Amino acid sequence: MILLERLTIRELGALHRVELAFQPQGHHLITVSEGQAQVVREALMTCLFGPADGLRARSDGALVECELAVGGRPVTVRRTLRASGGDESELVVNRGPRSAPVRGGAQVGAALDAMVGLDQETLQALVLPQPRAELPPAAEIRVLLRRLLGERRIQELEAEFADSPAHREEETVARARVELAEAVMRAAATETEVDRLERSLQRWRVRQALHALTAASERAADADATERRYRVLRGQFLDERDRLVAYREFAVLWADHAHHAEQAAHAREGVERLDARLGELASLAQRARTGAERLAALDRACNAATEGVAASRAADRVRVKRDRHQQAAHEFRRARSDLVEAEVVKSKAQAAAERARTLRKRAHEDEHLPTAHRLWGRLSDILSAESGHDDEEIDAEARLLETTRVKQRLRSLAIEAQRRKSRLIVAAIGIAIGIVVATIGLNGTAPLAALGVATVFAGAAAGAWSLWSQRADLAREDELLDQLAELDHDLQTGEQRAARLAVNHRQQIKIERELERRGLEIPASAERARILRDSATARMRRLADGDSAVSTGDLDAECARTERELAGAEREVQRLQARMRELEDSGAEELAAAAEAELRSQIEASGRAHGHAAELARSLGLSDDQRALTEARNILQRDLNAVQERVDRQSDLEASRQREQWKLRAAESALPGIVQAIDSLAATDPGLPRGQPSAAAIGRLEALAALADAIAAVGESRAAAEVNRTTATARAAHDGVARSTAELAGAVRATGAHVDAAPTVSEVRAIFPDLDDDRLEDPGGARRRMQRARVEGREFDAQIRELELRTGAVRHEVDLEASRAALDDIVDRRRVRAAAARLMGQALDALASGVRPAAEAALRQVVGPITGGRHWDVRIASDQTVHLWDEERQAWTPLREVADDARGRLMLAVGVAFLSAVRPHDAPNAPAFLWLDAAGEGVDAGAIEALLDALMQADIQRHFPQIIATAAPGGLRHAGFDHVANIVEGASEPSSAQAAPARWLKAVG
Amino acid sequence: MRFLRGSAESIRAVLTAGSHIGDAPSSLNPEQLVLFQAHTRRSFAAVVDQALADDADLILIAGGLFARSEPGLDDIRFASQCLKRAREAGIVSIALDEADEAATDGTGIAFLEELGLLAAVRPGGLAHTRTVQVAGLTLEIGSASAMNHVEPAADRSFLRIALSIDAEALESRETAADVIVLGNRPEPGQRRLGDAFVICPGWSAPSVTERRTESGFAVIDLDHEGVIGAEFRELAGVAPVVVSFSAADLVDRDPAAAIRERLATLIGEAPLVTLEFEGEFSRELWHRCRVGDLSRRASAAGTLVHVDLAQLRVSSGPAEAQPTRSFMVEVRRAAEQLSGSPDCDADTMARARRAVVDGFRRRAGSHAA
Repeated sequence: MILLERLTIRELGALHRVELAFQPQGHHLITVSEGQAQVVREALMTCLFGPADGLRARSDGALVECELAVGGRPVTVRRTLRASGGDESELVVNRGPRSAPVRGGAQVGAALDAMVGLDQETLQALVLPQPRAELPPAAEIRVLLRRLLGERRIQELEAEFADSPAHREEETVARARVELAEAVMRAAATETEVDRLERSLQRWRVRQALHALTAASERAADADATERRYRVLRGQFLDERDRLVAYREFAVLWADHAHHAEQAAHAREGVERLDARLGELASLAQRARTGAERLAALDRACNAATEGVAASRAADRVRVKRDRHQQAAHEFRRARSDLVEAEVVKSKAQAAAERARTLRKRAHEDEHLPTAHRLWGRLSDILSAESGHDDEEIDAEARLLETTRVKQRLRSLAIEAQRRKSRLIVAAIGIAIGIVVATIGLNGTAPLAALGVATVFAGAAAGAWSLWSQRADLAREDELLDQLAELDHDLQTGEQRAARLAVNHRQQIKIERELERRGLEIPASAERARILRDSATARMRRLADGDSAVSTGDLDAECARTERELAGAEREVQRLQARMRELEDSGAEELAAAAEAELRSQIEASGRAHGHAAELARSLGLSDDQRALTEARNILQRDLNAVQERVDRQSDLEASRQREQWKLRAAESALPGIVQAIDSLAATDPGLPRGQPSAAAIGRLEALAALADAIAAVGESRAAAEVNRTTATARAAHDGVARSTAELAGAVRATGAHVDAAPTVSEVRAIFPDLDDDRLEDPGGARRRMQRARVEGREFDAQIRELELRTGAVRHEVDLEASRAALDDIVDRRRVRAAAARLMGQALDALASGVRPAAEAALRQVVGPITGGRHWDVRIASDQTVHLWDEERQAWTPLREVADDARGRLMLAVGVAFLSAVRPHDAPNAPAFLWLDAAGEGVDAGAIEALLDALMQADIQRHFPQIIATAAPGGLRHAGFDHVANIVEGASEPSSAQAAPARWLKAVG
Repeated sequence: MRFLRGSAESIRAVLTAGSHIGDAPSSLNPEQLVLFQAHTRRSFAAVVDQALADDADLILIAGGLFARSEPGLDDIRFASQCLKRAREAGIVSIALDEADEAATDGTGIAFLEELGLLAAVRPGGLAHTRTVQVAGLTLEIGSASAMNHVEPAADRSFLRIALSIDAEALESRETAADVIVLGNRPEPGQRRLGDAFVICPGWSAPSVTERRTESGFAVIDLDHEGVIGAEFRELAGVAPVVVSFSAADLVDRDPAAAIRERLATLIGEAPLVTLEFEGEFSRELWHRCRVGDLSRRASAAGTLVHVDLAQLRVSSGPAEAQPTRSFMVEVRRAAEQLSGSPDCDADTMARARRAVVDGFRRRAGSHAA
């Protein structure tokens, strides 16, 4: 078990000086800004795994230090980061006086790896729960479990139980020795079998040759007798065929004669029948012409009647259209009145909504009244303090201008003093020159004396004037310096006031933002702020004294209801206005008038068409009903069509008559030639009948001739074929006798006996008197067995040679029993290793598959509190997706389909449940703390609060005695935590403030 | 021990903490939240009623009056009504306001103080202590941190009472207080810290997020010698009524009806009921319990039902094995399962299991070293 005890950060990122202490049990909250929360987490990871890429210390370096309890042993890791990117690492175990620190990044990393045994990715996966809608795949869980149990330890065990090449080679050699021994045994057995089969086959061959010789001799004698018999039969068949040719020709001539006479009679009868039908067709053509004229008159009457009916239907349609337009015009008038009523309803709804909004705003202010009271009070103080400073600011600006002016004046006085100094020097020089000149003049030259005296006086006068003017300026300069000092003092005082005003200004902005966030009024002046504060005080007193108040929820609902009613009224007005526009655009009233006029014109057209149809019907002697006219026309049309069809067949009848005449002429011309040929044939053969025979006699004669001819032809050809076949058979039988004799001689010699080239049956029987006693049932199978045995023998030999090379043994030295015993021992060890590997795999699989039910059980404990009692059971399906039992629907709901607000909480809970389920008890150094980050963007603080509340009621919490959460100030309720630490402007607050107790900050109001 | 010179009678002070008015656990739905908050308010009202019944002179709130930094107006109104009753009875109320400036700004207590219903003490030095005279006894009351700044008084003419929620800070410093009221623990208790008498009154609010079965407060009697008597009182009806169910209780009948029958006398009567489900339930049986429906019905009847599933196991089928989360146990299970298979005899599997267990333990020892 790994627990955090302390985390120290110096000058890392935006953090200057952070000291965080963690109790072994409890919920810890670190309030920190968003970016700094990440630095805190990175600092911990840097301590454990070294500085990450991109993590830079400041120019004077950074320090991160964490104190851990790893399996109960205190461990301190300290890393000093340099700005250049390097670091110095130190690790102390037990923190005692005799504990030798481990120094150097690699050494510290190795020591931590030996103690913790987790890489950074795994540790992050175990302490930073990820929102999940499904568990990770089983393979990923298996990897995580291996890392928790110690990846190196598992790998070493797997290597120990793995089937190594050395193991495989040892078993292969042992197995080859067994194979060698077995192959030697099988080769000997095969050789014996080959010898036995070979002897049996040789005796069988002699016997077969002997039987073949006997049978061949008998077949040769039979073939000679058959050949003689068939030669006699063929001569008899040839004599009979010549006599039947004349009979067949006579029958054919009489059959032709009867056929042509019959054709002539039929043709004559057809010509007469066709002449009669052509006469009937002429009268039918006259009837067809009369009917066509009557049909034309009926068509005109029908068309007139149809036009009348169409005009009536058009009038009906126009009448419907007119009614519709009249109804639309009525709707238009009704919509106009509805619109007026809807506008009245809308104005009432507007008034109600405005009133509800006012009430809600008031209730909203009441809801935040304590806060509003505090904020308005503070704002009043700040604005009051500022109000007196506006004039002072103006004075300060004037003083600044005055100071500038005085300083400029002082500078001009300094320049003037410099000039006066120059003039005094010039006057002094003039006086000196005058004295010199006067002295010279008094001594020698009188005119020069006067000049010298004049010069002296002029210089003295100039010097005196300069001194006098300087004295006045000096007095003025002293006065200006005093004034400057006074102004400088005023300016310093003003700057201090400006600093205070800036602080007040920042506070004012903060308060104004708070007021804006809560939707409260931001007072424009101190007076307004005081009024608001006093109003809030009075309202709070009144509300605090009151027994009841309308809740904001009710007012919100009322406001929402009135807003909905207003929106509905506005929509109704808009709908009616659109309806009005639509009806106006359609021009319903004008359309109704136009439809009325069209109706009248259609009625008139219908009357005219009906009158014309009645007149035509009367002229044909029919009623003026349209249906009767149409039926009469259709009947006439059908009759006319039938008559016309018969008239159209006249040309076919004429062509038929012509064909019959041609047939008659052809039959009459063929008959004389046939009679002449019959007479000629009867004269040549007296056996033929005299006169014309009957048709039956001709048929019988012809059939008898054909049958006799066919029988004689078949008999002759069969006899000739049998002669040829029996000749060949006799020749083949004699050849077979010769072959059998040679075969017998070969077979006898193959057994080793001595005979000549043509041995007889009796000679061979004499050599092998017991030949028929040795029965071989399946010589083919015996031969195949022998061949197979020979092949196997060769294969055994090759296999033995190969196995001798592989095992290094000699075939005559191998012992089958000993080889088998050695192999069994090796196989047994392999099976133990395989079973151990299988045990490890199955145990890891079972652990991985147990994560699902364990996570399900853990999640079940928190799902009720997290969903506010909506779901009380969960199921994690085989595809790892999470489903929740919906009690109302009596059905499972996939987590992904749960409403958004609950889904985020549930997904975080799934992440935590997974982390609690995935820790095996055999992983003694698994981290026992959770790190929840609510300071990041998009993180649902509500989900973390709900999770913490639920965890306090569940058994899962014992897996995570330490839960650490980071959140922006105000992001999480302090009530859910045992310890709270604040990081403000990169520094943690002193320990006394940190200890500000947990679920006790909630206690102080 | 400091005392007022003169003839002071003994006074009675009611000590309370953890009232948590307005607490809103995220695990409760809106209906349950209304019930819970009403129940929380009732518990604080019961403390004040008890103070009135005992003719107490003083109510000391050692933190935890409100659950939120900015309590709602209804919560403030309720607290003000309770404290107003106390004031009308002549009871002085003093509350610890150890608010974090950034987090809370002490809105609720500051307002109650402005209304004159209580006096607040805050950390930060002597200026933040309050001196009150009750029945002739002068008491100087402040936060524990304020008491750490106080020099021992020369005339020893009054008692000093410190209100604190910071036990660790208390242990690490010397205090000038005679009585320390420590409000950081839900359980009541008392002990001595040097010359000071430390008393934990416990929390008066109910809880559905912690397994706490009692709620209450403390009453102490004081005279110029100090504490002359202390008593802890449990608030009747605040703690939840616990009802347990096992599968055997429910398997032969309609479980939802059976649960309703067991709770018939509690629903609508008890404000808070905890249902404990224990043992192995089939999933079908668990669904038929219809806990959600029961909770909703109870809420509608005015009873908040809290469901404790820590001892519940739900199985999908009769033969479902419980996950063990132990590699060694899974190895044993796998060996038992595989030893009957045709390709592996029991002896081989036993030897394989020994090899795995020995190797795993051997390497665990070497890695730890």
